[in-house]
Amino acid sequence: MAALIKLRHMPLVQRSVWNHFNKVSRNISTSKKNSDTATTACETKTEDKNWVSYGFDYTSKEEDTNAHHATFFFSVTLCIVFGGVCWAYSPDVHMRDWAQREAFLELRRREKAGLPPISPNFIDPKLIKLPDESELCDVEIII
Amino acid sequence: MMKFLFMMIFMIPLCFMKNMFWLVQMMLFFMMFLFMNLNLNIMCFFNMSYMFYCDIISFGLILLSIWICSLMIMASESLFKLNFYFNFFLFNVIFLLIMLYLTFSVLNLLLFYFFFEASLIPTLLLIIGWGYQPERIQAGMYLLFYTLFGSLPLLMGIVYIFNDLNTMTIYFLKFFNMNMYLLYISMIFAFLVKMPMYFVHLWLPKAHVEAPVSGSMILAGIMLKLGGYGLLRVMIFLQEVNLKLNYIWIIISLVGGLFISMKCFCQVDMKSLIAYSSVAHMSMVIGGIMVMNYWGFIGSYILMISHGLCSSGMFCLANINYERLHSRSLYINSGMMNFMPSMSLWWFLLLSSNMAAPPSLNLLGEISLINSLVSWSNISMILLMMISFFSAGYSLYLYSYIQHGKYFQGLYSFYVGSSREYLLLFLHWFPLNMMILKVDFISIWF
Repeated sequence: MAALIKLRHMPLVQRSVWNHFNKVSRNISTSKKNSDTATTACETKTEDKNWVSYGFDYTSKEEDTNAHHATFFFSVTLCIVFGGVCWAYSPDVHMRDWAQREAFLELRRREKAGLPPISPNFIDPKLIKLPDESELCDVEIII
Repeated sequence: MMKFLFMMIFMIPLCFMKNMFWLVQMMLFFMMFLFMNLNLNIMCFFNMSYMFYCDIISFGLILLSIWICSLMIMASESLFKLNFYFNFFLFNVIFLLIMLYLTFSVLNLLLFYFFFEASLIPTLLLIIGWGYQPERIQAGMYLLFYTLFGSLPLLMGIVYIFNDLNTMTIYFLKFFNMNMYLLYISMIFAFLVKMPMYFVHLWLPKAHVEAPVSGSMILAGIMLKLGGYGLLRVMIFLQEVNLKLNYIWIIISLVGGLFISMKCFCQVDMKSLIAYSSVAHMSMVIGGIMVMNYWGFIGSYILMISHGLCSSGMFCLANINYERLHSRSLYINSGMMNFMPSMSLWWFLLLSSNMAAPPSLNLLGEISLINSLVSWSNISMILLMMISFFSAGYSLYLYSYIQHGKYFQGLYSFYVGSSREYLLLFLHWFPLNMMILKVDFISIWF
Protein backbone atom coordinates (compact mmCIF):
# COMPACT_ATOMS: atom_id res chain seq x y z
CA MET A 1 0.00 0.00 0.00
CA ALA A 2 2.75 2.37 0.97
CA ALA A 3 4.60 1.40 -2.18
CA LEU A 4 1.56 2.23 -4.29
CA ILE A 5 1.32 5.69 -2.77
CA LYS A 6 5.02 6.28 -3.19
CA LEU A 7 4.65 5.73 -6.93
CA ARG A 8 3.93 9.43 -7.14
CA HIS A 9 7.70 10.03 -7.01
CA MET A 10 8.33 8.03 -10.17
CA PRO A 11 9.49 10.25 -13.04
CA LEU A 12 7.06 8.58 -15.44
CA VAL A 13 4.10 9.43 -13.23
CA GLN A 14 5.32 12.96 -12.73
CA ARG A 15 5.84 13.51 -16.45
CA SER A 16 2.41 12.19 -17.38
CA VAL A 17 0.76 14.32 -14.71
CA TRP A 18 2.68 17.39 -15.92
CA ASN A 19 1.74 16.73 -19.54
CA HIS A 20 -1.88 16.26 -18.61
CA PHE A 21 -2.11 19.50 -16.69
CA ASN A 22 -0.36 21.36 -19.46
CA LYS A 23 -2.86 20.08 -22.00
CA VAL A 24 -5.79 20.92 -19.75
CA SER A 25 -4.71 24.45 -18.92
CA ARG A 26 -3.24 25.70 -22.19
CA ASN A 27 -2.68 29.44 -22.44
CA ILE A 28 -0.84 31.87 -24.66
CA SER A 29 1.34 34.44 -23.06
CA THR A 30 4.41 36.38 -24.10
CA SER A 31 5.76 37.59 -20.80
CA LYS A 32 7.61 35.35 -18.47
CA LYS A 33 5.39 34.42 -15.63
CA ASN A 34 6.03 32.78 -12.29
CA SER A 35 3.77 29.87 -13.22
CA ASP A 36 6.11 28.90 -16.05
CA THR A 37 8.63 27.32 -13.75
CA ALA A 38 8.47 23.52 -13.54
CA THR A 39 7.82 22.93 -9.89
CA THR A 40 7.74 19.17 -9.95
CA ALA A 41 11.20 18.92 -11.49
CA CYS A 42 12.65 21.37 -8.97
CA GLU A 43 11.27 19.42 -6.05
CA THR A 44 13.42 16.40 -6.80
CA LYS A 45 16.53 18.53 -7.22
CA THR A 46 16.20 20.26 -3.84
CA GLU A 47 15.36 16.92 -2.29
CA ASP A 48 18.52 15.43 -3.67
CA LYS A 49 20.75 18.25 -2.47
CA ASN A 50 20.69 17.74 1.27
CA TRP A 51 19.45 14.23 1.67
CA VAL A 52 20.37 12.36 4.83
CA SER A 53 21.69 8.91 4.18
CA TYR A 54 20.32 5.87 5.92
CA GLY A 55 23.92 4.80 6.39
CA PHE A 56 24.15 2.26 3.58
CA ASP A 57 25.49 4.39 0.77
CA TYR A 58 26.60 7.98 1.06
CA THR A 59 26.93 8.73 -2.66
CA SER A 60 23.76 7.60 -4.37
CA LYS A 61 20.36 8.20 -2.80
CA GLU A 62 18.69 5.47 -4.82
CA GLU A 63 21.14 2.79 -3.82
CA ASP A 64 20.93 3.90 -0.23
CA THR A 65 17.16 3.72 -0.18
CA ASN A 66 17.15 0.37 -1.95
CA ALA A 67 19.64 -1.08 0.46
CA HIS A 68 17.69 0.33 3.40
CA HIS A 69 14.39 -1.15 2.27
CA ALA A 70 15.90 -4.50 1.43
CA THR A 71 17.95 -4.82 4.60
CA PHE A 72 15.04 -3.96 6.84
CA PHE A 73 12.78 -6.33 4.95
CA PHE A 74 15.13 -9.29 5.11
CA SER A 75 16.27 -8.78 8.65
CA VAL A 76 13.26 -7.39 10.48
CA THR A 77 10.26 -8.52 8.46
CA LEU A 78 11.55 -11.93 7.51
CA CYS A 79 13.80 -13.05 10.32
CA ILE A 80 12.30 -11.28 13.28
CA VAL A 81 8.61 -10.94 12.47
CA PHE A 82 7.90 -14.03 10.37
CA GLY A 83 10.57 -16.07 12.12
CA GLY A 84 9.28 -14.96 15.48
CA VAL A 85 5.72 -15.92 14.55
CA CYS A 86 6.90 -19.34 13.39
CA TRP A 87 8.89 -19.86 16.56
CA ALA A 88 6.11 -18.65 18.82
CA TYR A 89 3.40 -20.72 17.22
CA SER A 90 5.23 -23.82 16.10
CA PRO A 91 3.58 -26.88 17.57
CA ASP A 92 5.34 -29.16 20.00
CA VAL A 93 8.91 -28.00 19.79
CA HIS A 94 11.38 -30.87 20.22
CA MET A 95 8.40 -33.18 20.88
CA ARG A 96 8.23 -32.16 24.51
CA ASP A 97 4.46 -32.08 24.79
CA TRP A 98 4.31 -35.50 23.17
CA ALA A 99 6.89 -36.80 25.63
CA GLN A 100 4.93 -35.43 28.58
CA ARG A 101 1.69 -36.97 27.30
CA GLU A 102 3.37 -40.31 26.84
CA ALA A 103 4.80 -40.12 30.32
CA PHE A 104 1.40 -39.41 31.85
CA LEU A 105 -0.20 -42.23 29.86
CA GLU A 106 2.45 -44.64 31.01
CA LEU A 107 2.09 -43.54 34.61
CA ARG A 108 -1.69 -44.00 34.42
CA ARG A 109 -1.26 -47.42 32.89
CA ARG A 110 1.14 -48.48 35.63
CA GLU A 111 -1.11 -47.08 38.35
CA LYS A 112 -4.07 -49.04 37.01
CA ALA A 113 -2.00 -52.18 36.85
CA GLY A 114 -0.86 -51.66 40.43
CA LEU A 115 2.81 -51.32 39.54
CA PRO A 116 5.12 -48.72 41.09
CA PRO A 117 5.78 -45.70 38.85
CA ILE A 118 9.18 -47.11 37.96
CA SER A 119 10.46 -50.53 38.75
CA PRO A 120 13.62 -50.84 40.90
CA ASN A 121 15.05 -53.21 38.29
CA PHE A 122 14.62 -50.86 35.35
CA ILE A 123 18.00 -52.03 34.16
CA ASP A 124 18.52 -55.76 34.38
CA PRO A 125 20.76 -56.30 37.46
CA LYS A 126 22.72 -58.94 35.60
CA LEU A 127 23.97 -56.28 33.19
CA ILE A 128 25.35 -54.04 35.93
CA LYS A 129 28.98 -54.71 36.77
CA LEU A 130 29.90 -53.33 40.15
CA PRO A 131 33.53 -53.06 41.27
CA ASP A 132 34.86 -55.38 43.96
CA GLU A 133 34.94 -54.48 47.63
CA SER A 134 38.74 -54.28 47.47
CA GLU A 135 38.61 -51.45 44.94
CA LEU A 136 36.07 -49.57 46.98
CA CYS A 137 37.80 -49.31 50.32
CA ASP A 138 39.28 -45.84 49.78
CA VAL A 139 36.39 -44.28 47.91
CA GLU A 140 34.33 -41.68 49.73
CA ILE A 141 30.60 -42.36 49.90
CA ILE A 142 28.57 -39.24 49.11
CA ILE A 143 24.83 -39.35 49.48
CA MET B 1 22.03 -29.24 5.51
CA MET B 2 23.83 -29.52 2.24
CA LYS B 3 21.42 -26.98 0.88
CA PHE B 4 22.74 -24.32 3.23
CA LEU B 5 26.31 -25.32 2.52
CA PHE B 6 25.72 -24.98 -1.20
CA MET B 7 23.97 -21.67 -0.72
CA MET B 8 27.06 -20.36 1.06
CA ILE B 9 29.46 -21.79 -1.51
CA PHE B 10 27.56 -20.18 -4.34
CA MET B 11 27.60 -16.85 -2.55
CA ILE B 12 31.37 -16.76 -3.04
CA PRO B 13 31.29 -15.69 -6.72
CA LEU B 14 28.65 -13.17 -5.70
CA CYS B 15 31.20 -11.50 -3.40
CA PHE B 16 33.43 -10.64 -6.32
CA MET B 17 30.80 -9.07 -8.50
CA LYS B 18 30.39 -5.36 -8.61
CA ASN B 19 28.06 -3.60 -6.16
CA MET B 20 27.00 -6.77 -4.42
CA PHE B 21 27.97 -5.76 -0.91
CA TRP B 22 24.46 -5.40 0.45
CA LEU B 23 23.15 -8.31 -1.55
CA VAL B 24 25.50 -10.71 0.22
CA GLN B 25 24.30 -9.45 3.58
CA MET B 26 20.70 -9.90 2.55
CA MET B 27 21.35 -13.40 1.27
CA LEU B 28 22.78 -14.26 4.65
CA PHE B 29 19.68 -12.90 6.39
CA PHE B 30 17.56 -14.95 4.02
CA MET B 31 19.59 -18.03 4.82
CA MET B 32 19.08 -17.34 8.50
CA PHE B 33 15.34 -17.14 7.94
CA LEU B 34 15.34 -20.43 6.07
CA PHE B 35 17.55 -22.18 8.58
CA MET B 36 15.62 -21.11 11.64
CA ASN B 37 12.26 -22.09 10.23
CA LEU B 38 12.99 -25.27 8.35
CA ASN B 39 14.37 -27.04 11.37
CA LEU B 40 11.57 -27.01 13.91
CA ASN B 41 10.09 -30.02 15.69
CA ILE B 42 13.27 -31.94 16.05
CA MET B 43 13.82 -34.49 18.75
CA CYS B 44 17.48 -35.31 18.86
CA PHE B 45 19.27 -35.48 15.53
CA PHE B 46 17.96 -34.21 12.28
CA ASN B 47 19.02 -33.74 8.71
CA MET B 48 21.39 -36.65 8.79
CA SER B 49 23.22 -36.97 5.55
CA TYR B 50 26.58 -38.40 4.68
CA MET B 51 28.67 -36.58 7.21
CA PHE B 52 26.44 -33.79 8.49
CA TYR B 53 23.91 -33.70 11.21
CA CYS B 54 22.46 -31.19 13.54
CA ASP B 55 21.29 -31.49 17.08
CA ILE B 56 20.14 -28.77 19.35
CA ILE B 57 23.58 -27.57 20.41
CA SER B 58 24.64 -27.27 16.79
CA PHE B 59 21.35 -25.65 15.85
CA GLY B 60 21.69 -22.72 18.22
CA LEU B 61 25.34 -22.12 17.43
CA ILE B 62 24.82 -22.27 13.66
CA LEU B 63 21.98 -19.79 14.02
CA LEU B 64 24.25 -17.55 16.03
CA SER B 65 27.06 -17.77 13.48
CA ILE B 66 24.84 -16.95 10.49
CA TRP B 67 23.29 -14.04 12.38
CA ILE B 68 26.64 -12.62 13.52
CA CYS B 69 28.16 -13.00 10.03
CA SER B 70 25.34 -11.05 8.42
CA LEU B 71 25.66 -8.38 11.10
CA MET B 72 29.42 -8.29 10.49
CA ILE B 73 28.80 -7.22 6.93
CA MET B 74 26.32 -4.60 8.05
CA ALA B 75 28.82 -3.22 10.54
CA SER B 76 31.62 -2.97 7.99
CA GLU B 77 29.99 -0.48 5.69
CA SER B 78 33.02 1.79 6.02
CA LEU B 79 35.07 -0.75 4.06
CA PHE B 80 32.58 -0.46 1.23
CA LYS B 81 32.57 3.32 1.40
CA LEU B 82 36.34 3.57 1.33
CA ASN B 83 36.57 0.80 -1.26
CA PHE B 84 39.14 -1.06 0.79
CA TYR B 85 39.21 -4.57 -0.67
CA PHE B 86 35.63 -5.23 0.32
CA ASN B 87 35.42 -8.10 -2.19
CA PHE B 88 38.05 -10.05 -0.34
CA PHE B 89 36.46 -9.06 2.92
CA LEU B 90 33.14 -10.55 1.82
CA PHE B 91 34.93 -13.66 0.65
CA ASN B 92 36.62 -13.90 4.03
CA VAL B 93 33.32 -13.60 5.86
CA ILE B 94 31.59 -16.23 3.71
CA PHE B 95 34.56 -18.56 3.97
CA LEU B 96 34.60 -18.15 7.73
CA LEU B 97 30.88 -18.81 7.87
CA ILE B 98 31.32 -21.98 5.82
CA MET B 99 34.06 -23.19 8.16
CA LEU B 100 32.00 -22.42 11.25
CA TYR B 101 28.89 -23.99 9.80
CA LEU B 102 30.83 -27.14 9.00
CA THR B 103 32.47 -27.17 12.41
CA PHE B 104 29.12 -27.25 14.11
CA SER B 105 27.46 -29.69 11.78
CA VAL B 106 29.89 -32.52 11.03
CA LEU B 107 29.54 -35.94 12.57
CA ASN B 108 33.19 -36.85 12.52
CA LEU B 109 35.54 -35.73 15.30
CA LEU B 110 38.51 -35.39 12.96
CA LEU B 111 36.50 -33.25 10.55
CA PHE B 112 35.37 -31.17 13.48
CA TYR B 113 39.04 -30.61 14.36
CA PHE B 114 39.86 -29.80 10.74
CA PHE B 115 37.19 -27.11 10.45
CA PHE B 116 37.93 -25.86 13.97
CA GLU B 117 41.47 -25.08 12.85
CA ALA B 118 40.44 -23.92 9.41
CA SER B 119 38.24 -21.21 10.90
CA LEU B 120 41.40 -19.63 12.34
CA ILE B 121 42.75 -18.71 8.92
CA PRO B 122 40.03 -16.30 7.79
CA THR B 123 40.03 -14.83 11.30
CA LEU B 124 43.76 -14.20 11.05
CA LEU B 125 43.30 -12.66 7.62
CA LEU B 126 40.56 -10.42 8.97
CA ILE B 127 42.70 -9.20 11.85
CA ILE B 128 45.84 -8.61 9.83
CA GLY B 129 44.13 -7.40 6.67
CA TRP B 130 41.60 -4.97 8.02
CA GLY B 131 42.77 -4.15 11.51
CA TYR B 132 43.63 -0.64 12.51
CA GLN B 133 46.97 -0.56 14.30
CA PRO B 134 50.43 -2.04 13.68
CA GLU B 135 50.01 -4.09 16.85
CA ARG B 136 47.68 -6.35 14.94
CA ILE B 137 50.57 -8.42 13.64
CA GLN B 138 51.52 -9.40 17.15
CA ALA B 139 47.86 -9.96 17.97
CA GLY B 140 47.49 -12.31 15.02
CA MET B 141 50.56 -14.26 16.10
CA TYR B 142 49.26 -14.56 19.64
CA LEU B 143 45.88 -15.80 18.41
CA LEU B 144 47.40 -18.29 16.02
CA PHE B 145 50.06 -19.73 18.24
CA TYR B 146 48.03 -19.92 21.43
CA THR B 147 45.34 -21.87 19.60
CA LEU B 148 47.76 -24.10 17.72
CA PHE B 149 49.72 -24.82 20.88
CA GLY B 150 46.58 -26.16 22.48
CA SER B 151 45.22 -28.01 19.51
CA LEU B 152 48.13 -30.22 18.50
CA PRO B 153 47.56 -32.48 21.54
CA LEU B 154 43.87 -32.49 20.52
CA LEU B 155 44.81 -33.89 17.13
CA MET B 156 46.94 -36.56 18.74
CA GLY B 157 44.10 -37.40 21.10
CA ILE B 158 41.66 -37.76 18.23
CA VAL B 159 44.00 -40.05 16.33
CA TYR B 160 44.47 -42.12 19.48
CA ILE B 161 40.70 -42.40 19.89
CA PHE B 162 40.39 -43.61 16.34
CA ASN B 163 43.14 -46.14 16.91
CA ASP B 164 41.43 -47.39 20.02
CA LEU B 165 37.75 -47.28 19.16
CA ASN B 166 37.79 -47.44 15.35
CA THR B 167 35.10 -44.79 15.24
CA MET B 168 35.16 -41.03 15.04
CA THR B 169 31.44 -40.42 15.03
CA ILE B 170 30.62 -38.04 17.83
CA TYR B 171 27.29 -39.67 18.45
CA PHE B 172 28.82 -43.07 19.10
CA LEU B 173 31.46 -41.86 21.49
CA LYS B 174 29.03 -41.70 24.37
CA PHE B 175 29.11 -45.46 24.64
CA PHE B 176 32.76 -45.43 25.53
CA ASN B 177 34.68 -44.33 28.55
CA MET B 178 38.28 -43.30 28.05
CA ASN B 179 39.84 -43.43 31.41
CA MET B 180 43.26 -41.88 30.78
CA TYR B 181 44.60 -38.68 32.28
CA LEU B 182 46.89 -37.82 29.39
CA LEU B 183 44.11 -38.22 26.86
CA TYR B 184 41.84 -36.07 28.99
CA ILE B 185 44.32 -33.22 29.29
CA SER B 186 45.26 -33.32 25.62
CA MET B 187 41.63 -33.32 24.52
CA ILE B 188 40.36 -30.48 26.65
CA PHE B 189 43.38 -28.22 26.64
CA ALA B 190 42.66 -26.92 23.16
CA PHE B 191 39.16 -25.95 24.15
CA LEU B 192 40.30 -24.35 27.36
CA VAL B 193 42.73 -22.19 25.39
CA LYS B 194 39.96 -21.28 23.00
CA MET B 195 37.37 -20.44 25.63
CA PRO B 196 39.66 -18.93 27.15
CA MET B 197 40.52 -20.03 30.62
CA TYR B 198 42.40 -17.65 32.85
CA PHE B 199 46.06 -18.66 32.47
CA VAL B 200 45.88 -19.06 28.71
CA HIS B 201 43.68 -16.07 28.04
CA LEU B 202 46.34 -13.63 26.91
CA TRP B 203 45.55 -13.91 23.22
CA LEU B 204 42.02 -12.66 23.72
CA PRO B 205 42.57 -9.03 24.76
CA LYS B 206 45.13 -8.64 22.02
CA ALA B 207 43.14 -10.24 19.25
CA HIS B 208 39.82 -8.64 20.16
CA VAL B 209 41.26 -5.17 20.45
CA GLU B 210 43.38 -5.22 17.31
CA ALA B 211 40.76 -6.81 15.12
CA PRO B 212 38.44 -4.69 13.01
CA VAL B 213 34.85 -4.54 14.14
CA SER B 214 33.89 -7.58 12.07
CA GLY B 215 36.81 -9.56 13.45
CA SER B 216 35.93 -8.60 17.02
CA MET B 217 32.31 -9.53 16.44
CA ILE B 218 33.08 -12.95 15.10
CA LEU B 219 35.75 -13.62 17.71
CA ALA B 220 33.53 -12.65 20.62
CA GLY B 221 30.43 -14.02 19.02
CA ILE B 222 31.39 -17.45 17.84
CA MET B 223 35.04 -18.35 18.04
CA LEU B 224 35.00 -18.47 21.81
CA LYS B 225 31.98 -20.73 21.65
CA LEU B 226 33.88 -23.21 19.49
CA GLY B 227 35.77 -24.04 22.64
CA GLY B 228 32.57 -24.45 24.60
CA TYR B 229 31.03 -26.59 21.89
CA GLY B 230 34.10 -28.79 21.76
CA LEU B 231 34.04 -29.21 25.53
CA LEU B 232 30.36 -30.16 25.44
CA ARG B 233 31.05 -32.80 22.78
CA VAL B 234 34.22 -34.22 24.22
CA MET B 235 33.10 -34.36 27.85
CA ILE B 236 30.78 -37.23 27.02
CA PHE B 237 33.43 -39.86 26.95
CA LEU B 238 35.75 -38.23 29.47
CA GLN B 239 33.28 -38.02 32.32
CA GLU B 240 35.04 -40.30 34.74
CA VAL B 241 38.39 -38.55 34.60
CA ASN B 242 36.63 -35.21 34.61
CA LEU B 243 34.96 -35.94 37.91
CA LYS B 244 38.36 -36.46 39.44
CA LEU B 245 40.09 -33.47 37.88
CA ASN B 246 37.45 -30.87 37.22
CA TYR B 247 38.16 -28.93 40.37
CA ILE B 248 41.43 -27.68 38.83
CA TRP B 249 39.74 -26.08 35.87
CA ILE B 250 36.81 -24.75 37.87
CA ILE B 251 39.02 -23.09 40.46
CA ILE B 252 41.36 -21.62 37.86
CA SER B 253 38.53 -20.25 35.79
CA LEU B 254 36.46 -18.88 38.69
CA VAL B 255 39.34 -17.24 40.51
CA GLY B 256 40.73 -16.09 37.19
CA GLY B 257 37.35 -14.68 36.28
CA LEU B 258 37.40 -12.73 39.51
CA PHE B 259 40.85 -11.28 38.77
CA ILE B 260 39.86 -10.44 35.22
CA SER B 261 36.67 -8.72 36.37
CA MET B 262 38.73 -6.58 38.69
CA LYS B 263 41.18 -5.88 35.91
CA CYS B 264 38.30 -4.54 33.80
CA PHE B 265 38.16 -1.53 36.05
CA CYS B 266 41.74 -0.66 35.12
CA GLN B 267 41.24 -0.53 31.37
CA VAL B 268 41.48 2.68 29.39
CA ASP B 269 40.55 1.09 26.10
CA MET B 270 36.85 0.42 25.51
CA LYS B 271 37.43 -2.68 23.46
CA SER B 272 39.91 -4.01 25.96
CA LEU B 273 37.30 -3.69 28.70
CA ILE B 274 34.75 -5.57 26.63
CA ALA B 275 37.35 -8.24 25.79
CA TYR B 276 38.21 -8.80 29.44
CA SER B 277 34.53 -9.01 30.28
CA SER B 278 34.28 -11.79 27.69
CA VAL B 279 36.94 -13.72 29.61
CA ALA B 280 35.01 -13.27 32.84
CA HIS B 281 31.79 -14.59 31.29
CA MET B 282 33.55 -17.49 29.66
CA SER B 283 35.12 -18.39 32.98
CA MET B 284 31.65 -19.06 34.31
CA VAL B 285 30.83 -21.10 31.22
CA ILE B 286 33.89 -23.29 31.78
CA GLY B 287 32.86 -23.74 35.40
CA GLY B 288 29.37 -24.75 34.34
CA ILE B 289 30.55 -27.37 31.86
CA MET B 290 33.14 -28.84 34.17
CA VAL B 291 30.79 -29.51 37.08
CA MET B 292 28.90 -32.00 34.91
CA ASN B 293 25.45 -30.94 36.11
CA TYR B 294 22.49 -30.78 33.80
CA TRP B 295 21.88 -27.19 34.86
CA GLY B 296 25.55 -26.47 34.34
CA PHE B 297 25.39 -27.62 30.74
CA ILE B 298 22.22 -25.68 30.08
CA GLY B 299 23.44 -22.54 31.78
CA SER B 300 26.72 -22.59 29.95
CA TYR B 301 25.03 -23.13 26.59
CA ILE B 302 22.55 -20.31 27.13
CA LEU B 303 25.30 -18.05 28.39
CA MET B 304 27.34 -18.86 25.29
CA ILE B 305 24.52 -17.82 22.98
CA SER B 306 23.60 -14.71 24.91
CA HIS B 307 27.20 -13.65 25.40
CA GLY B 308 27.77 -14.02 21.67
CA LEU B 309 25.00 -11.54 20.96
CA CYS B 310 25.81 -9.19 23.80
CA SER B 311 29.59 -8.93 23.32
CA SER B 312 29.21 -8.61 19.59
CA GLY B 313 26.76 -5.76 20.11
CA MET B 314 29.12 -4.01 22.50
CA PHE B 315 31.96 -4.25 20.00
CA CYS B 316 29.65 -2.69 17.41
CA LEU B 317 28.95 0.15 19.81
CA ALA B 318 32.65 0.65 20.47
CA ASN B 319 33.25 0.75 16.73
CA ILE B 320 30.46 3.28 16.22
CA ASN B 321 32.31 5.55 18.60
CA TYR B 322 35.66 4.67 17.05
CA GLU B 323 34.50 5.58 13.54
CA ARG B 324 33.62 9.05 14.73
CA LEU B 325 36.47 9.83 17.09
CA HIS B 326 39.22 7.49 15.85
CA SER B 327 40.04 6.61 19.40
CA ARG B 328 38.99 3.83 21.72
CA SER B 329 40.16 5.60 24.81
CA LEU B 330 37.56 5.98 27.53
CA TYR B 331 38.69 9.52 28.25
CA ILE B 332 38.16 10.74 24.72
CA ASN B 333 34.87 8.89 24.41
CA SER B 334 33.26 10.41 27.48
CA GLY B 335 30.04 12.41 27.53
CA MET B 336 28.62 10.76 24.43
CA MET B 337 25.10 11.40 25.62
CA ASN B 338 25.60 14.99 24.58
CA PHE B 339 26.12 13.94 20.97
CA MET B 340 24.21 10.74 20.45
CA PRO B 341 21.50 10.43 23.08
CA SER B 342 19.74 7.75 21.04
CA MET B 343 22.87 5.68 21.05
CA SER B 344 22.97 5.80 24.82
CA LEU B 345 19.76 3.76 24.77
CA TRP B 346 21.62 0.98 22.98
CA TRP B 347 24.65 1.32 25.24
CA PHE B 348 22.31 0.92 28.18
CA LEU B 349 20.37 -2.04 26.77
CA LEU B 350 23.44 -4.02 25.77
CA LEU B 351 25.43 -3.23 28.89
CA SER B 352 22.50 -4.09 31.13
CA SER B 353 22.26 -7.42 29.33
CA ASN B 354 25.99 -7.84 29.86
CA MET B 355 25.55 -7.58 33.60
CA ALA B 356 22.73 -10.13 33.38
CA ALA B 357 19.88 -7.80 34.14
CA PRO B 358 16.43 -9.20 33.45
CA PRO B 359 14.93 -9.96 30.99
CA SER B 360 18.02 -10.92 29.07
CA LEU B 361 19.17 -14.40 28.19
CA ASN B 362 22.38 -13.76 30.17
CA LEU B 363 20.23 -13.73 33.29
CA LEU B 364 18.89 -17.18 32.60
CA GLY B 365 22.34 -18.51 31.87
CA GLU B 366 23.89 -16.98 34.94
CA ILE B 367 21.11 -18.17 37.23
CA SER B 368 21.48 -21.72 35.94
CA LEU B 369 25.25 -21.51 36.27
CA ILE B 370 25.10 -20.10 39.78
CA ASN B 371 22.74 -22.89 40.79
CA SER B 372 24.92 -25.58 39.31
CA LEU B 373 28.21 -24.24 40.65
CA VAL B 374 26.81 -23.73 44.13
CA SER B 375 25.41 -27.24 44.11
CA TRP B 376 28.88 -28.49 43.29
CA SER B 377 30.46 -26.61 46.18
CA ASN B 378 29.14 -23.99 48.57
CA ILE B 379 32.42 -22.07 48.58
CA SER B 380 32.04 -21.15 44.93
CA MET B 381 29.22 -18.91 46.12
CA ILE B 382 31.79 -16.34 47.22
CA LEU B 383 33.60 -16.37 43.88
CA LEU B 384 30.38 -16.25 41.89
CA MET B 385 29.04 -13.43 43.98
CA MET B 386 32.20 -11.42 43.37
CA ILE B 387 32.21 -12.15 39.64
CA SER B 388 28.57 -11.15 39.22
CA PHE B 389 29.05 -8.06 41.33
CA PHE B 390 32.12 -6.91 39.46
CA SER B 391 30.52 -7.62 36.10
CA ALA B 392 27.69 -5.31 37.08
CA GLY B 393 30.31 -2.87 38.30
CA TYR B 394 32.37 -2.63 35.16
CA SER B 395 29.31 -2.59 32.90
CA LEU B 396 27.96 0.40 34.82
CA TYR B 397 31.42 1.95 34.88
CA LEU B 398 31.71 1.67 31.11
CA TYR B 399 28.24 3.06 30.54
CA SER B 400 28.61 5.91 32.93
CA TYR B 401 32.07 6.93 31.74
CA ILE B 402 31.13 6.88 28.11
CA GLN B 403 27.72 8.48 28.30
CA HIS B 404 27.63 10.82 31.27
CA GLY B 405 29.67 13.86 32.09
CA LYS B 406 31.36 16.44 29.95
CA TYR B 407 32.57 15.52 26.54
CA PHE B 408 36.20 15.67 25.56
CA GLN B 409 37.01 19.27 24.62
CA GLY B 410 39.23 18.25 21.76
CA LEU B 411 36.35 17.14 19.55
CA TYR B 412 35.87 19.13 16.40
CA SER B 413 32.98 17.60 14.54
CA PHE B 414 30.53 14.82 15.05
CA TYR B 415 27.65 13.11 13.36
CA VAL B 416 24.73 11.29 14.88
CA GLY B 417 24.04 7.61 14.47
CA SER B 418 22.77 6.44 11.11
CA SER B 419 19.79 4.18 10.63
CA ARG B 420 22.03 1.27 9.68
CA GLU B 421 23.84 1.50 13.01
CA TYR B 422 20.62 1.52 14.98
CA LEU B 423 19.37 -1.47 13.02
CA LEU B 424 22.63 -3.27 13.71
CA LEU B 425 22.25 -2.75 17.43
CA PHE B 426 18.57 -3.59 17.39
CA LEU B 427 19.31 -6.89 15.69
CA HIS B 428 21.81 -7.67 18.43
CA TRP B 429 19.52 -6.69 21.25
CA PHE B 430 16.23 -8.11 20.06
CA PRO B 431 17.12 -11.83 20.12
CA LEU B 432 18.98 -11.29 23.35
CA ASN B 433 16.04 -9.89 25.25
CA MET B 434 13.19 -11.55 23.42
CA MET B 435 14.45 -15.10 23.19
CA ILE B 436 13.91 -15.49 26.88
CA LEU B 437 10.23 -15.73 26.06
CA LYS B 438 10.80 -18.89 24.05
CA VAL B 439 14.02 -20.44 25.21
CA ASP B 440 12.75 -23.90 24.25
CA PHE B 441 14.44 -23.75 20.93
CA ILE B 442 17.92 -23.54 22.27
CA SER B 443 17.91 -24.55 25.86
CA ILE B 444 16.90 -27.99 26.96
CA TRP B 445 17.94 -31.05 25.12
CA PHE B 446 17.71 -34.72 25.88
